[in-house]
Formats: sequence, C-alpha cells, structure tokens
Amino acid sequence: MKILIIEDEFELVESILSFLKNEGYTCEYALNYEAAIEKILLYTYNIILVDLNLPDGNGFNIIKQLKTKNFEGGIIIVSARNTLDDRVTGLNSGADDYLVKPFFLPELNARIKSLIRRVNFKGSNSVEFNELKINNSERLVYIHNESLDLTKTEYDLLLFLFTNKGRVISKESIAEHLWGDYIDMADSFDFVYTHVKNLRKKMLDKGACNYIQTVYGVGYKFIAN
Amino acid sequence: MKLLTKTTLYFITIVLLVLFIGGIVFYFYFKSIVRREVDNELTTNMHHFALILHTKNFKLDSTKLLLPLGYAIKPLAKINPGIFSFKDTIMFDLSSQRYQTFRVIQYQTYFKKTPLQLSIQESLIIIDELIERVAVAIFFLTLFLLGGIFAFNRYFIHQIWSKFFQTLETIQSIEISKNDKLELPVSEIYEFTLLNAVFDKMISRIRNDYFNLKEFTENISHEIQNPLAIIKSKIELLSQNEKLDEEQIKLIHSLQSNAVRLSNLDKSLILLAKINNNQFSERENINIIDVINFHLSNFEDVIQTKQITVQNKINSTFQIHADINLINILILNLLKNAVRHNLKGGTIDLAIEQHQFIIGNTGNEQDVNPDEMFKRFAKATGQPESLGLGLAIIDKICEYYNYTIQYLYNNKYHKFIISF
Repeated sequence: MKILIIEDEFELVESILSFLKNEGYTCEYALNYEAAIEKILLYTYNIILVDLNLPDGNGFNIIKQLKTKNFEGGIIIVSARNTLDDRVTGLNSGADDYLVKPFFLPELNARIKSLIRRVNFKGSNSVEFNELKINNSERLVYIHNESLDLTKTEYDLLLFLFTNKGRVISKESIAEHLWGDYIDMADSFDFVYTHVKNLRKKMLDKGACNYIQTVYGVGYKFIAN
Repeated sequence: MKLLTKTTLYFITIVLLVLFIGGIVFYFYFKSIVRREVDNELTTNMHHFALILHTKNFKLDSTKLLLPLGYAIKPLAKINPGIFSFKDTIMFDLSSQRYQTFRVIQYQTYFKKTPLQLSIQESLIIIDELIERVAVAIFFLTLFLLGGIFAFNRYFIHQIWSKFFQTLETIQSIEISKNDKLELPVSEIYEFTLLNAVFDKMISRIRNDYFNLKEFTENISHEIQNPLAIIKSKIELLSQNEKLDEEQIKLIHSLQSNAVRLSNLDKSLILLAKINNNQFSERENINIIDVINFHLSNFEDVIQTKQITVQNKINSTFQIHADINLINILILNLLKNAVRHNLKGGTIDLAIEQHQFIIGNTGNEQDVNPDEMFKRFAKATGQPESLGLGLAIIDKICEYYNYTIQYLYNNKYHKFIISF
C-alpha cells in the first residue's frame, strides 16, 4: 500500500509518516506543489493526502491533474479550511474524503483504512481477528461466529479502536470520531466511558477476550495480541 | 435644526436689528436736517421781514392786516435788540384743525423808537410725516430682504447643497466589503471638494483595513491550525510510548486536551470574526424544521447517553432566508447548549410558534448574570473547560440577521426564544 503525503509542514509530515509506518504502509511525501506534481507523474500511489494550501500552488490543481491521469486510488483532502462550502468544493473536485486540521492521527488512520476498503473491495469486506470478525459492508460483528448486537455508536467505536489496534487512543479523538461537533470536549470523558463500558460488557458476555484496555487518564487501547 | 435654518435665523435677526437701529438713526438724522433747513428758512425770512419793516413808508398800524400767516409783530416794554432766538411751541393749526409743533423765530428791534418783537412761525408737520415715511420704507425694506433671503435659500439648497446631499447618499449606500469605486458628485465648491476628498481617503483606508483584517482572519486559521496539528500529532506519537509512567501520561494528556481546547477556541474566534466581517453573505431559503431535525438526529446518541428526554412539540415550520452555514451553527449551538447544561435525566422542550423557535431545558442555576451571558468568555464557575463562546456565537448570528433572542430562567428551567 503506497501513500503520498502532500503537505508543506515538514513536522506534521514527520508525525504522519511515523504513525503510518507502524501500519505497514509505504509512505512518500512532497513538501510543495512542484514536487507533488513530479511525484504523481512519475509514480503511482494507492492513497494521496493533499493539503489545499501549498506555498507554490493549490491542492485542487493537483486533484485535477490526478483525475486527468485517470488516478484510481483514493484522495483525502487535509485542510484547515472548515466551512461547508470548502468541504463541498473539495468533495466535488473528486476527493474521497475531507479531513479538517488539526486532526487526530488515529482519525487519519481510520479514514485511510476506510478509503482503502472502499477502493479495493468496493465496500464489501470483512476482517478477522482471533475470535472476532467484523463485516464492514453489513456493519456486523461476530464473536465465535455468533453475531453481536451493537448500536451504531458501539459499532463505530469498536471499528475505530480496532483500526488503531495496539495504540493508545485518547478519549478526545474517540469523541471527535464518534460525535464530531455534537459534543463538547469537556463532556467527552463520561460519554466515551459509558459507551466503552457497554461495548466491553457485550463483548465479554459473548465470550470474547477483554481486548479494550483502559489507559488510565488518557483513553483506551485495543490490545493487538 | 438644519444648518441653513440656523444661519438664516441668525441672518434675519441681524437684519432686523440693523434695520431697527438704522431706522432710529435715520429718523434723528433727517430730523436734524429738516430743523436746520427750517431754521435757515426762518432766518432768511426774518431778515426780509426786518428789512421791509425798516422801509420808510411802513406804518405800524396797518401792518396787522397786511402780514402773511405766521408773521407777527408784538410791542414789548423792554427788549434785547439784534438777537435771533428760536423756540418750539405747540399751537392750534387752523389749516389742519389740530395741535401741532411749530418752530418760531423771534427778533427784537426798534421801529421808530418803539420796541418790537418780530416773530415768524412754521409748522413742523413735515417731521411727523418723516417718521411715517421712514417706518414704511423700513417695513418694505424688511419684507424685501426677507423675501430675498427666502428665495436665495431655496436656490441655495437646490443648487449648492444638492451636491452635499448626493455625497451623503453615496456614502450611506457604500458597501465596505465590496470593492466598488467610490463615485462622489463633483462640486465647484471648495469645502465640498475637500469633504469628498476626505471621504474618499477615509473609505479607502477603511477598505484597506477591512481587507487586511479579512485576509488576516483567513490566514490565521491556517497558520494557527498548522502548528496545532503538529503539536497534536507529536503528543499522540509520544503517548504511544509504552515506557511512560502514570505521571508522564497525565502530563501528556493535559497537553492533549489543551491543544484541542486551543484549536476549538481558535475556530470559534475565527467564526465570530468572519461574521463580523460579513463573510457570510450568501442567502438561500431554509426550512427551519429540516435544520432542527437534522441536528437533533445527530444528537440522538449524546441525548440517550445523558438520559435526556426530548419533548418535540414542533408541529409547524417556516422558511428563513439566510446563509445555511450560519443557521446550522445557530441551531447546533442552541441544541448543544441545551444538552451540555442539562441534568442527567432532564428534559429538552422544542417548539415553534409563528416565527419563533423556542428551546427549553432543565439545568442548574447559572451564576452568570443573564445580561452578561451572551458576552464572550462569560462562563459559569466550575466549568473551566467550557469555551464560553457558544452563546456569544448564537448572539452574534442573531445580531447579524436581526433576530431577537430572549433568555428566561425559572426554577431550574432555562428557556431561549429566537424570533426570526
């Protein structure tokens, strides 16, 4: 899986690279418009992250170039602009997703994974992990081949934690992933706690291992082994 | 009071004062001229009279019948010869049948050794007539002047001040946010040209400031969110380290949540600045119930977790003409406020009455003064993580569209009424 990161802030690129490397992706980056154009003309990528504001050009033009090249991978716009108009323009230009800065790295990871699923399997795939099986197209979870009755939020929570398995996920990033603007960060602890508690209980009741570990004071972690 | 009315009033006062004083001065001046003329005439006549008297064949006895009207000869016991003396006297005038002031000249002389006093009198009726004439003349002069001023002012307003009013109109209709060229009427009057030049300079300076500010608010979003994105990502990488102890994890988490807070604060302040800068000028027809239901459905999860009962009494709707971004933010913030400050197991009531959206919720009494509540950073104590900007944003959006917002509190129940 090859990912190109087009972003002018090198430190941010470093963080993204470091985070995504652990996921087993091959990552390259371009710090400006010119370098980005050169890369997309020479190489092929599965996923491209594009910042709209580049020092020497506009991210939209890169997307246009990709579209004329019949690019088949996924495009995620990463931008500080966050009005509805910006999002609509971004998605209409041909991008698959729009992520507003500053974002949580697990969120970026989840978006990339979700995009890979859509691009590769056209929305139908499932992952298995020990006794756990998650069917993405049907949005169903099975434990020991028995279906687990989850609410929409619980399903999203599980998928988010699972996507970022082996990492400590802060309650803020979970809250933002699940509810976005609809929750105050101040409230997030109680909320995330309640939903994690319910999810964990349902999973344990079906005989699953206790995969969701509480990291005291920070958040949660889906144990990788 | 209009400038012209004010100056006209001053002008009229001065004109009336000048004419009044001028009239009095005129009167006394003419009066003295007339007196001098009368005195000169009487003196000349007296010379003639005395001369005739001294001719040889003049007989004193026969003179009484021969003397013209106003001439008199009176024998005196003792005289002081050779002196002309004048005096004013009031007598009955036969010709006009009334009492009048007469000027009398007296001259004492000897006629064939008989001491005599010769006198000639002349009516001063001309002076009375003079007062009348002067009064009439001043009256007509005043009328003429006032008429002149009035006519002149009308001309003044329409011809000269019209440019001034055109300038005012242009300035009033100018939109700072648009880069239209300022076209002020050209006037040949120096003061108006100066005024136009000042306006021109002022508007371009305001525009400059406005566009700078606008650019600044646009840039600041990008500029601040970038380092924040870096900070957030670095903190996340740091928190993946498995060798961290509990104390370090706490520190990292504190960094994390404050970075999030800063980012949200920045977003909210940029939003407020954008509203202030009129950057939400697009308008479309919005069905208010659609917006409410959309956000309400997104809140479902949060509402359920907090065990809040929503009593949705909305059974009518209305259209508003506004920017969808702002209306979304308005409704979202109102609902968020009602959820956030609600009690566990509390209620939220929603209703629409005519052009009003009413949202009520249970919640503890806030120690913020209701008048202060819509100000930025007005937040209740004990909620340090609240940004204190939610209500300020609501208030700003209402102000932007001239909606009114009312806040009522009664017995642990908060109510907001927005009149669109």
